Amino acid sequence: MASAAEILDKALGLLVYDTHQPLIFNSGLFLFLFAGFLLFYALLRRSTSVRIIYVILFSLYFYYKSSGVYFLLLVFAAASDYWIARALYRTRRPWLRRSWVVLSIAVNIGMLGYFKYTNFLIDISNRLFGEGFLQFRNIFLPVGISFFVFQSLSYTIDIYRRQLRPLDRWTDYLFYLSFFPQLVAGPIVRAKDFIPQIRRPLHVSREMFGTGVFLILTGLFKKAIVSDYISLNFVDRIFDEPLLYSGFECLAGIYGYALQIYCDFSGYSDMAIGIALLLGFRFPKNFDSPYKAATITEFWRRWHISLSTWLRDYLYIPLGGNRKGRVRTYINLLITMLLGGLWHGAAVRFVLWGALHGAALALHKLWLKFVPRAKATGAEMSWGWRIAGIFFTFNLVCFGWLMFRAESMQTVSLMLHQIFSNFNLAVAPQVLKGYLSVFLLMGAGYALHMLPASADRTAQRIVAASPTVVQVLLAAGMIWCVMQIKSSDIQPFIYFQF
Amino acid sequence: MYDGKDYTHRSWLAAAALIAVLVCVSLIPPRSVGGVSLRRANILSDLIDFGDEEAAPAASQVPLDEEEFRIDLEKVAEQLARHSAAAPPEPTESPADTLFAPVQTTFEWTIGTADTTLHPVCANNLPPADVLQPIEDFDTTGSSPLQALYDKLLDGRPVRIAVLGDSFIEGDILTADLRETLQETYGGSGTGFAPMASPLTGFRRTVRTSAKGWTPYNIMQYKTTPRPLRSDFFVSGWVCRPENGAQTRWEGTDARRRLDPCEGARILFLSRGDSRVEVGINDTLHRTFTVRGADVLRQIAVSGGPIHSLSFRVAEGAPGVVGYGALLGTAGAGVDNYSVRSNNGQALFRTNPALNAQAQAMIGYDLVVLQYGLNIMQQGIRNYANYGAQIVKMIAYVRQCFPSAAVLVMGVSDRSVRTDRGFEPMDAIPYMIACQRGAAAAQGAAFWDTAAAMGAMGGMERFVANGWAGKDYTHINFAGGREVARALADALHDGVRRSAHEREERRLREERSQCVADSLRQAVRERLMAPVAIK
Repeated sequence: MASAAEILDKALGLLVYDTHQPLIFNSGLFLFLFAGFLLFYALLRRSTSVRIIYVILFSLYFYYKSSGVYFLLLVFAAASDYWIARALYRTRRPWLRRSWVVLSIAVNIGMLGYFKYTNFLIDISNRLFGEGFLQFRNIFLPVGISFFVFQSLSYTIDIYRRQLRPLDRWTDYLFYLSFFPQLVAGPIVRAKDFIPQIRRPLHVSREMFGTGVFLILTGLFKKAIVSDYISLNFVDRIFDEPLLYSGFECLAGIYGYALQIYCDFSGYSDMAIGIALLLGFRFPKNFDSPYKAATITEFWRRWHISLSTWLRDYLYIPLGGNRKGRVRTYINLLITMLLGGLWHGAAVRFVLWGALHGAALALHKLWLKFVPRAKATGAEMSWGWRIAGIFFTFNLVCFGWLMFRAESMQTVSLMLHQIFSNFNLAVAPQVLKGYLSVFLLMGAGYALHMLPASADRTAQRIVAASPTVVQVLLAAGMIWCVMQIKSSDIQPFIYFQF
Repeated sequence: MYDGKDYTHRSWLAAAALIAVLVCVSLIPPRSVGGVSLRRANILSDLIDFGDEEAAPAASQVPLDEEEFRIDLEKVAEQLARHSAAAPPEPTESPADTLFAPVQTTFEWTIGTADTTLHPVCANNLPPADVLQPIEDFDTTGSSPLQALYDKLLDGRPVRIAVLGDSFIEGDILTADLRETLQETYGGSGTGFAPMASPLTGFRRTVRTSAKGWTPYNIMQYKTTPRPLRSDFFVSGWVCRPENGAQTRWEGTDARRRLDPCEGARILFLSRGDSRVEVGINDTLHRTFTVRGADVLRQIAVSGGPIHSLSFRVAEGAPGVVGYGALLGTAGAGVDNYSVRSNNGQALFRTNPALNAQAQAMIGYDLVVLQYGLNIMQQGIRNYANYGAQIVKMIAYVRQCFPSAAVLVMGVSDRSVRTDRGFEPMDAIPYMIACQRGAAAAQGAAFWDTAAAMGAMGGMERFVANGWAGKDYTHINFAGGREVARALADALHDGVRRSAHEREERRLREERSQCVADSLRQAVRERLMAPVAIK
């Protein structure tokens, strides 16, 4: 056993920025830091200004633990948009107002472009003009930059649209932009939804507390149990070397990835929303069982709602939305989804993923136009059509995930080759047996996902109404499971092809 | 303003209570419940290590199915001697004697002038190694076959290396880059051995194989392999049964340098009954060979080049034919990948020693590398004595079948396992390495510590982080194979460099002694020639 001095040394070491150890909600360190944070947060509940400064400092530390010195970028973005917004609000001349908002967009997109897309653009230039045309740059990508840039833009654009008044205090704006629950992985909380909550007297109701606990637990289950386990033990290896696996395994790998990305993303969102509730803040819902969608339009109403609504309000509508004729509507949809794809990552495959969804959305709009009996959502369909729609939409989305996850287009073609030319269904029983724990977890994940919303609400009500002791024990049980999974043996590679 | 109780304080109370519960849970040691082993859920794992791994009782010995893979080396020697004595004579130019009809084992086809020599290298020009993990040669005879390999490389003579292994090198991982490095340095071309057919041909990037009409079996499917074929495995570990018209086409790729085109090729097969096979080169040259039935390994040896593609078709007599594969590139430095997944090396004992010896007579390996052990090693097991004894037998067996080849045991590669502190090297690695090194030393073979070479590059965790290894923290991929291959090639270069150095020292010594002898001779001569004073 280590001595007290060694333990102290290790503890101090943990508090310093480490590139390989970002601070995430499902880490032990976060639990300790959050507990300490909560104590003083509660003590400061009546001193609003001090509490705001306290939360800002904790948030900046949280960001420092993920991105080191780049927490200053967050401070810069907050300062820049705060002053631009104030200037914008005071200006009456339209061209000057437009100039201010363009400046805000340029600063934000410039930051995003530099940190996220410089090497992507260099790569494209090198492909066009030959290797070595431009040298790649060693640029650090600050965590969550895509999220806080979009949040900040929502503030200046809403003020430009006169839908929001600018804040009087810079600290309030920094509080909004740096608020740690949604800082690194969303949801993208709009300024107009968040700002009114900042100086409201702090009150956490029983319902908020219970719902917060429930969402943290479900988020942990999705992120740290389902997503992490199936990715490490099954999905990653299939995408790494598809030719080592039968088409059946490749297809299962794609379905596994569909569950993995949903659990990863929505699980982290759930935890963020839950943590915010414990702090007295309400965030909008970010995922609504997206694989229950019976059409691609419905899928985008259920998947990453904060992003899809942001893209709709700040990109699709300014492009003209559906107000400029049918053809322009389809083009606008395609442009919105292409840029939405690019937002997810700086690679051609994300653009193609966006293009696929844009084209699918446009085609669905066309279908709705020419087939009067067609419905936009599953709730309006008969059961038969709804099930067929869910099956079709799910597989279309999975095809998109294939492009999203594959390292290259070669991997996409190899996966498709295995699925369509080497499916080898005969290996299915062996695969299911060999990866039993993975498939049980996948089955449970999809089954829970497909449960009716009422079941989710009932579970939430039960957990929320439980005594705190029960909630603590439930949380301890969940964390115990997470730790067992985290330290469990890796499923060895199993080959069934012969 | 708000109805109801405020729960702001409840959050930190709940968090504190949760931490208290979890700290108490951390004190529960690992245990097994209903056959499921539960780890210690240590919430303080970043700070406190309870030393569960050290406290765990070491399992007695690694479970090993030695009975299933029993081998009697004396019987192997007898079998080889018997076979060698009974070997039918090769046909001569004179008319065949009808009583002892000769069996033609090699069907030659020359399509150009073959350049079978390597480029003699200057030891000073060999690429330097950043961090060298040297090969340990335990030879005690004074005429080390490994030294002979270094000398051959130095002199620019052709060398052939067989790498026998498991899924770690499957698909030409590691060997593709070892081959490329050696061919770039010493000369040579071609991808080496490619099976006649296999479910994994698509995974191998260094040769494009299209096969139809073959049913492949590998040696790990021994029990499900048709009984007549079970004695037909040689060290490749694959046999393919054809139907009439079965064919395979191999084509070089640009996945590595010097794969396409290659010079020289061999196609290996058995033809117990009379058969007729067709061979095509570059889809333009075609030739048919009539093969008389005999129970010996056959080869169609194509010399010269350039060869971009090679095809083989069983036109008649398929029931008596067993296909093995082709060796693309017979000139210069050649590296053949003989990998069978899940093999821990013991499956070698199920190969036919006579076929191995015939293959050696045709191919002439200078070095056989044994890359095994990954499928035996287990976390918590530290005693590999029984496996070590099997490695000793593997080396002896390889020596019997490939008498002129050096044997190099590749130590087990680095591998990580998950603990509550994240990924850590498997605790069994040093014990497995000790067992492999011990076996090599006992047999006077050579040993190369793969795990140490990987460790110098940051170990398995770094390999995974760099995208050089799979997420099972066990298998490297092509990118990782390149790194390990470079380290192994560096070790071989180092041997060549030392060989050159010793040769130079020997030459200088000889020169010096020659000088001394010459000067002595001169002195004697001068004394004799000196005018004698007349008194």
